[in-house]
Amino acid sequence: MLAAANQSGKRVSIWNLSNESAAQKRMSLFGTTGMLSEFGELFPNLQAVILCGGWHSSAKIACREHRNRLLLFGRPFLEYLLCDLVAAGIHNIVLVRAMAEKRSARISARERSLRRRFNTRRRREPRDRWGAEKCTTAFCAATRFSS
Amino acid sequence: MHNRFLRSDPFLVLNGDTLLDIDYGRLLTKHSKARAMVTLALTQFRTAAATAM
Repeated sequence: MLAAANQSGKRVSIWNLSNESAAQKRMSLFGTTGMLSEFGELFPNLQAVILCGGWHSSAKIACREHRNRLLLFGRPFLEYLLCDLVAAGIHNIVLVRAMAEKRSARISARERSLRRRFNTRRRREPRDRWGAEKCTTAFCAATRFSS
Repeated sequence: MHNRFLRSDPFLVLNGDTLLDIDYGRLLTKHSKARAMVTLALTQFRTAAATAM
């Protein structure tokens, strides 16, 4: 997408959150819904896409202590994201999980390299019991989302 | 994917394994004002802190 943007001559805008002050960050915590309501007229059906078909490898160190990689303080990781988006007024959400269903050779190779470094059993368990799909299904059943 | 699932323009793309403290309204404002095709919201992290989270 970035390459397409550059080729077409359209700009790629970058918002560096590291430059935000603590006060601005606090404002953003409490001002999200209000600001988005102004955008409701411009983007009434704003859609969010969550890429959740991976191996959740960003949390590998935090989850080493936990039985389940996809649980954070007892809540499914996706639930935090979904609640955040709903609080911001975004109800149209697409969950992309193709990689979890159809693993490519590249992903398998990555898994093998991870297996050498981490406990394989613990990594496999959440995919069967609390994987992204099951977490999402349970969350959607309890709310007005449809998956 | 765009034809099958995406029905809004613009749209947000988020990582499923990253927690954000971000104001989506401000992000959209910046995107709209910049008239850009793509807007990236980036922040700096130490490698250890990023992988721990």
